Amino acid sequence: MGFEVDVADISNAAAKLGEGKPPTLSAEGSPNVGSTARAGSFAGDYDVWLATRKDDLDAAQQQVESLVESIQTAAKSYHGTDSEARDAFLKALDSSFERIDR
Amino acid sequence: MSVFDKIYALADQVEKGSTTELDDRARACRGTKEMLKDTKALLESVRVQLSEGWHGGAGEAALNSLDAFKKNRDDQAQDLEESAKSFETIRDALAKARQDARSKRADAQDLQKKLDHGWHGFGIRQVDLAVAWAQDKAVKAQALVLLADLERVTTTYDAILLIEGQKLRFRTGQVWELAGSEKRNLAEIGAIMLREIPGLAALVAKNPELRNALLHGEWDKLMQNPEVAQKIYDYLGFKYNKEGDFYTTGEHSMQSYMGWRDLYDKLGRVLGMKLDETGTDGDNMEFTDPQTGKTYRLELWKGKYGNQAFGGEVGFYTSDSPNNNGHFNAAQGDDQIKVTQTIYNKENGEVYYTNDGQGADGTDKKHFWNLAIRTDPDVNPEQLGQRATIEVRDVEMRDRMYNEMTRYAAAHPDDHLTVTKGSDHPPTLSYDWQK
Repeated sequence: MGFEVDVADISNAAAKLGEGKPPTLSAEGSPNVGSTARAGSFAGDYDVWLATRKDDLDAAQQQVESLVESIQTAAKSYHGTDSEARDAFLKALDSSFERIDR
Repeated sequence: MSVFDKIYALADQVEKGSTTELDDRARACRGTKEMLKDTKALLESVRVQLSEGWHGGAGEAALNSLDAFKKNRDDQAQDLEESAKSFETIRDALAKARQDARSKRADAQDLQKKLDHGWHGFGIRQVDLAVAWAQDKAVKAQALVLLADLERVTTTYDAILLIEGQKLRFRTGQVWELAGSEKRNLAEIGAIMLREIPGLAALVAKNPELRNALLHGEWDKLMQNPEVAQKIYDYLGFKYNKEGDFYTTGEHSMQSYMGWRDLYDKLGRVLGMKLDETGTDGDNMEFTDPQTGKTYRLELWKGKYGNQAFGGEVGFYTSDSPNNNGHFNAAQGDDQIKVTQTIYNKENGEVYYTNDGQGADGTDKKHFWNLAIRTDPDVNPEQLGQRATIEVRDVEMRDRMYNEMTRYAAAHPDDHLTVTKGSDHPPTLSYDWQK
């Protein structure tokens, strides 16, 4: 009985995580750093930086989505009447979380 | 160009820069940092709830994973803080350079006035000429000193741009190391691959030609080496099927692969993948179960996987509702399909190989993805045809899939896709794709 409540709480916390606003970066194209000899190369450095940060934030969001989905899938298949259910639920989370990139 | 023109042009180079824009970038970094803190707090609340239900044994790995995910957010936040500091360092350097440039410009303007004045009224007496000449030389010498000073200002500023620019460029992703790989230079990707792909470094160290190819991003050349190709396919989660001589993929390795979707897409491009695929114009093969609202998507691929390999894929995805903004998950449970995929030469009919569901868990051969790639550089991807038989769980689903595939085929005549219904027990359909 106690663990059923835990599953519901975990599931609710996951739902809140899923509803959280995905972090985004509002920075736009390369800032105007003037037109000295190095300015052009700096714009290239900046482009790499921006693309990397945006991709990494996307990857982080994918991580969150996989996490939320793993919990919700495990919660859906949880049957409180089964005496092994608690372990099965936790094991399902163990294995599915490990497959999420970090 | 006179020395004064040079001074003004140099001053322009820094005066036109915008400290406000650099400030904006720093502020954007800090804004994202705050959002990351929020996500971290939400992850922490999941961890707390999970730890309440955990009493040793199972669940430990999940808690460790959550700690790792939280650390990812800290790393990203730290990274953004350092990026913000780089922008501020450049902002301060620019402000200083602009101030110096303005002052040098003002000095230069004064000198220029002096110079004009010195020659004013010249031509009456010999002595005037001598004085004017001497003044001219003195002023021009001072202008040269100003120019040298200004050059030092811009060189110093450029040095800051170089240092901070490199710091920004060399930040890799914190969750995904190859983030930004489309923009990164090829040698950087090579270095990351060497670090990430087990055994690749040892292989490359033995062969200077391979090392050279890696540093220059000559992926085709790399993939022509069967040992390298094997390592990269292993890394992407592919398994070799010795019997059929093709690579396929397991269900669970693909769970991790799904998280690497972008990596696969990006590496795919650098590795020279050139594939025909359905849905490229935004019109995908999708159908909805009217009872449950569950929506299904079928995707097909075929073509060239690097210079060394060819093959095809059949993927089946689901979404709980039709309003999914294109977000689908790999089909699970009884939504999975049993696919027998054959890759053949559409010009002479030669069958290269057939994957009858290898890679699926257990013995049911049901999977969300039937993939089959063979390494053989001599096959022309233009000649590839793909045909398959798909078995689904019931006749209703088969009929909906058939109707959707038929609709898609009619809407895309250039795809040369023909679909036929098979038996009802088990419910199957077949298609032949000769794009």
